[in-house]
Parts: sequence; structure tokens; C-alpha cells
Amino acid sequence: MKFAKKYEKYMKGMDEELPGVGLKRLKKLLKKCRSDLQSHENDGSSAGRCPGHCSVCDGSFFPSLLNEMSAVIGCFNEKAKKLLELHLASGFKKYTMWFTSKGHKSHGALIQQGKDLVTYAIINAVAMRKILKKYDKIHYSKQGQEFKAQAQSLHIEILQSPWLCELMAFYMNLRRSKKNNGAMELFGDCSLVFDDDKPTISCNLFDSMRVDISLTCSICLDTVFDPVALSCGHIYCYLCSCSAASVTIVDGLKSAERKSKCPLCRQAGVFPNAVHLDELNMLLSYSCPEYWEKRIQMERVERVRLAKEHWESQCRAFLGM
Amino acid sequence: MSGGIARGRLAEERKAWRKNHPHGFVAKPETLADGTVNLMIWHCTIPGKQGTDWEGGYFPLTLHFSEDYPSKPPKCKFPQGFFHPNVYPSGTVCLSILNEDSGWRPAITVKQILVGIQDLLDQPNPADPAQTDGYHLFIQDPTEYKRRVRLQAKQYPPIV
Repeated sequence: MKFAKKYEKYMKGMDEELPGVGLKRLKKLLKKCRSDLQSHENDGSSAGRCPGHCSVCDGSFFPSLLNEMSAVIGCFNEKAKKLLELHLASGFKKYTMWFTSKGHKSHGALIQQGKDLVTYAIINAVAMRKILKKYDKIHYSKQGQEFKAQAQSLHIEILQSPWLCELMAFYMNLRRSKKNNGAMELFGDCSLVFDDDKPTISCNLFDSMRVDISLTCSICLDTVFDPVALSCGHIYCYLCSCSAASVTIVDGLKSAERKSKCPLCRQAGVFPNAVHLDELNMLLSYSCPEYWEKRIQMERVERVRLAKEHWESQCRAFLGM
Repeated sequence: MSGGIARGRLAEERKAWRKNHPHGFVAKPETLADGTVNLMIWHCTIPGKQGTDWEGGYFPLTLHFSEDYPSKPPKCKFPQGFFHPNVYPSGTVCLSILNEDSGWRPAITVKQILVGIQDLLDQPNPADPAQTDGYHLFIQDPTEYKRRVRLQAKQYPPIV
């Protein structure tokens, strides 16, 4: 079965209607463009290039794809956030959430919802990749690739979403706990791999796609501790990201200046909307307990020192010293 | 902001370097008179690249790390008066990846810095001169420039 048909069937078969890529419509646009191109080539005019009136190149293709991608990532992030909140909530909050959200009465349902969400993310990522590839093939251009890069800088590339990483960790946490031995496979093969003491979440996805997420903080060069994902998708220790953003741990990343840049991609304004990766934190604490214990002790000392430093400077400022 | 992060990172850098580093390079934190190690200053050696005029020279370089490392880059210094268009008379290296406002990223490692400086030796950037002597010869008299480079390489033989 062709991917477009497979995609359409998948989107129609979903329990609720979710935003997706208008693959059929975009393919029609490209088909029209191809026939326009061929007729122009037969005339001998501007061979291999798009005619001026091309319905794709006049700005209908990329803006609509951009809107669709934004809708997909928005929906995915929101749903993943809700699901993980439900899993991580404790005490009274948990009971309230469980009663207010319908259909979450069992762990099985929770796992199934996670599975559906990841499948939704991946199939849409594949759809976007395929349509952009097709665009470049027809136009003999690299505009599709450029658009992909633009999508990454706008944080609408779904495989870049911190919530995808969290869902993978969520799955591995559920798989690890004894009462969830029958957990359904969310991915073809998802595991936490330690290569030369450097951890990576390695995952084989649908349609021979592969995602490898490095869990080494590029600031301290150690395994991420109390990890946060910046809005560009890069993951760091919380303490390290505070240091990179030049904010105190008391003020937190929300108070970071807009001009502060990601230590890896140098993108500005990525700190205020950083996401705390609690599931990942849990996964790592189970996977390397000795390291975790040692790191907790070190962090405690460092955090006390930083907090003390912060309040001393506040007192000095208050007293006008 | 936090010296703890700087020292922790440098300890990791040291560990990674000892495990694996490019051939001919040396990078060691300073050892004080009482035998303690100061991670904030590293003494390094950069070999001249083979097949270039710099070949045969083993050039000493000192890396000075601040308490703000890795948010801020280290200061890299050759000996005073080192001959190269992008090295200041004081010995400080002028390189984009070592500039906080342009190419520096906290993800850049000591290994990448040293390899970057080795590349710079034979590929100077005339758009960013740091000394008149080296720059003028590089632009106006390439033959004399090459001679000076080879002479300097002889001044820094390998330490046996």
C-alpha cells in the first residue's frame, strides 16, 4: 500500500479527529505543478524551472504545510503533556485528574494512549518528510530541505519535540515496573543504551526512521541530571542550563533574557519555555543508581551554595551595600 | 556564575582527553609546587600539521579557564612574540570559536579547540589580523613568510 493511502487510512481510523498533513491536497498541487513544468519544457521555455504562474511556487504549498505542521505539533505537545501530567501526578491531584479525564481508568489505557500519540507523531513526521522530498524532486530544488531547516528553527519539527523524548522515557518506565509487564510496544525497539558510559535513547521508528537522543549534557559533559529540554529541543542538566542562561536557580529559567542562546545551536530565546523532563529523570535514576546517588550529593551542595550566594547578594542589594 | 560547573566540566574534559586524544598533542592541567592540580590552567602542545611549513614544530600553548567556563571560552596563549597573522604580540590567539560573541559554544571541547588552533596555523585568516609583522609578510611576501614559519618550527622541537 502506498504511504499516502496508509496515512489517510490511519488518520480516518483515529478515535478523535486530530490535525494532520493534507497529503492528498498537497500531492494534487505537486501533480499540477509537474504537468505545468512538462508543458513548459515542451514549449522549450525556461526548461527545468517553475513557470511564473505555478500554483505551488506562488506561495500556497509552503504556507499551508507550515500551518498544518504547527497544528500537528501543537496538538501532539498538548496531549503528551496531559498524559504525562496524569502519570506523574501524586496524591489528591492525581485522583482529581483521574476522575475528570474520561477513559483513563486503567494503566493499559494510559499505555495505549501513549502508543497512539507516538504513532501519530511519527506518521506525521514521515508524511512531512515525504511531501518535502517530492517537492524537491519535482522542482529540482533544495527548497524542501531549506523549509525543513526553517521548521526546526520555528520548533515545529515533531521529532525535535521534548515531549517525544518524554514519551519514550514514559514507555520505558512503564515497561520496567513489574505491574506493566504486558505493556504494548510503542516503538519497534526503544532502549536506553550506554556506549562508553554515555547514555543514549535509541529508537527504531516506523518506515525505517531512527531517532537517537543523546543524554550527555554538552555543558558539563556528564549524563544529564534533573534534565530540561530547551524549546530548540536540546537537553541539559537544570543547573547547567541556569548557568548557560546566566540566571540563578532561585529565579529559574523563566527569568532568562530573550537574548540568551542555546549552548549547542546558538538559537536565542529558548530558555523561558524550557520543559522539565521528569520521566527521563526517573528513567535515568533507575538505570544508573550509583551515579545518581553521587550526583544528588554533589548537586545538593552546589544548590545550597548557589542559593546562599543569591540571598546574600539580595540582602546586600536591599541594604544598599 | 558557578565555579562548581567549571571544575566539574574540566574534570570530565581531562578524563575524556586521557581516554582518547589526537596523536602528537599534549594537554595537562597545571601542577602546583605542592603537588596539587590546578584545573583552571592547562599547559598544551600543538604539533605542526604534516605536509605544511609548520611540520616538525611542537608549539606550547596555555589555556586559561575562568570560573564562568564553559559559558565563556578559555583564553589561549602562545609564547609572547609568536609569529602568526592571527596571534597577538602578547601571544593570545584570535580565533572565531574562541570569541564569546561569535563562534563560541559551551559544547566546544578542549580537543576541538586544540585541533582548531592547529588548523589555524597553516590556514591564517587575513580578514582578522592580530599582528602587523605576520600579516604583512603573509599578504606581501609569501616566500619570506614561509621561511619565517619554518624557522619558528625549528625553534620548537619536540620535547624528548
